Amino acid sequence: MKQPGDKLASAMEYMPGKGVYEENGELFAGVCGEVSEDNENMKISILPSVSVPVEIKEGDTVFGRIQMTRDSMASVEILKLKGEKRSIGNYTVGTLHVAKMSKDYVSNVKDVYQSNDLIQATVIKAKPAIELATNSDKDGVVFARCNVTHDVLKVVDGELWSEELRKRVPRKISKIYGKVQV
Amino acid sequence: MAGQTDMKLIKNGVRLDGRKPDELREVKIVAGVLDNADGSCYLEWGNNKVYAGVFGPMECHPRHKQKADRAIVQARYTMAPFSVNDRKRPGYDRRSTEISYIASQAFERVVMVEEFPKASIRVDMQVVEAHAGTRCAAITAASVALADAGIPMRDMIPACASGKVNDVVVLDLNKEEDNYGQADLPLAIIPSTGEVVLLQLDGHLTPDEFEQAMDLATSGCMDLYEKMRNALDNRYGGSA
Repeated sequence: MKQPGDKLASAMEYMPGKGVYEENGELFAGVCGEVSEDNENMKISILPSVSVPVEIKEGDTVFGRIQMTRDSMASVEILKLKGEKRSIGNYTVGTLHVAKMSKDYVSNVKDVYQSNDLIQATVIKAKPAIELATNSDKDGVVFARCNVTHDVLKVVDGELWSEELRKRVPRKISKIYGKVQV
Repeated sequence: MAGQTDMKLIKNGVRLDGRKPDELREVKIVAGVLDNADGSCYLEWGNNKVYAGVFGPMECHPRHKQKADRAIVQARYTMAPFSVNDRKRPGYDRRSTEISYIASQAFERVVMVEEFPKASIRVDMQVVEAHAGTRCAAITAASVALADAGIPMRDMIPACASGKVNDVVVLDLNKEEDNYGQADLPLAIIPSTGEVVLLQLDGHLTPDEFEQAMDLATSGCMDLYEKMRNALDNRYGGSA
């Protein structure tokens, strides 16, 4: 196993990949792990054997909070990667376009999400900026409060219901609504 | 250093605890001992017992401490009330504030902070039992914890002290030597380059003695570095 500071190769031989850094024309390991050499692209990287800081990739499922909604998009603060114990390293914001919100046509973003809803979403693009989608059944709101009375919304007949207002509240809800420990 | 004693701390080239002047105390390092921390380490160095835990990179609070182009390392050194003879008043004091600050500076030199702009990497060092040399023990433990947390870094930093006792330059002072000795010089280096990331000096040394003490502490750091590497190898298997 290589450890931080171990010399791997000369910078002339390989390009530095993940977990490798270059200094003074030489390549060194940056994290603990096994070396992997990609001889096609002449890239050397380290497959970490320790847990490493979270990185959001395409296809990941994430939990987030709706920050604000606009006419055609919503911005989501990403709070957690599903199935990952370590927290997200930093303040990360993703965008959710109106066309990717639901399988059905969405005429008004506010009929689907409102600010401060906690949602589950899928990452469809990680670079240069994070783009999210919630058009599958499992994605959508997992926890929400009524924006008038602030009571926790319940699912009644597949729709969210505000007990105090005696009113249905339109949202795109996830299959796991209410089952997520916030 | 101010302590005065008639006690002979070195007799016939042997120290009170039976060590030679250039010998380290027994060191035991275990990586990845805590479940809830992202990375952790337990270290026993003679009678010193230290836990270190690492969290992050995470959002930096307070926000005004964020750096737009890099992460900051927020190290925190604390001593348990039961770590010393007289009960230590829990919480921050002048000494722990200083050690936290120098440890943060040392770690910022090795951790690749530029990969995580605006973030903070929290390093918590808890001294459970103190017997001289806890700042070195804490920094050593924390570097193993940082490596265990998978935070990209240039190298681990071992830290080790040397000093002067009964006019002899010795490695790794113990409690009596620290209290009644003439000088104490904690040193932390980056082993791969030999760069010094922490150097303090308490007491008086002549230039020659200083050179000697530096050499001794450097060799102590290198010995320690081997043990740190072994600790990570033992935890994550496989030989290099």
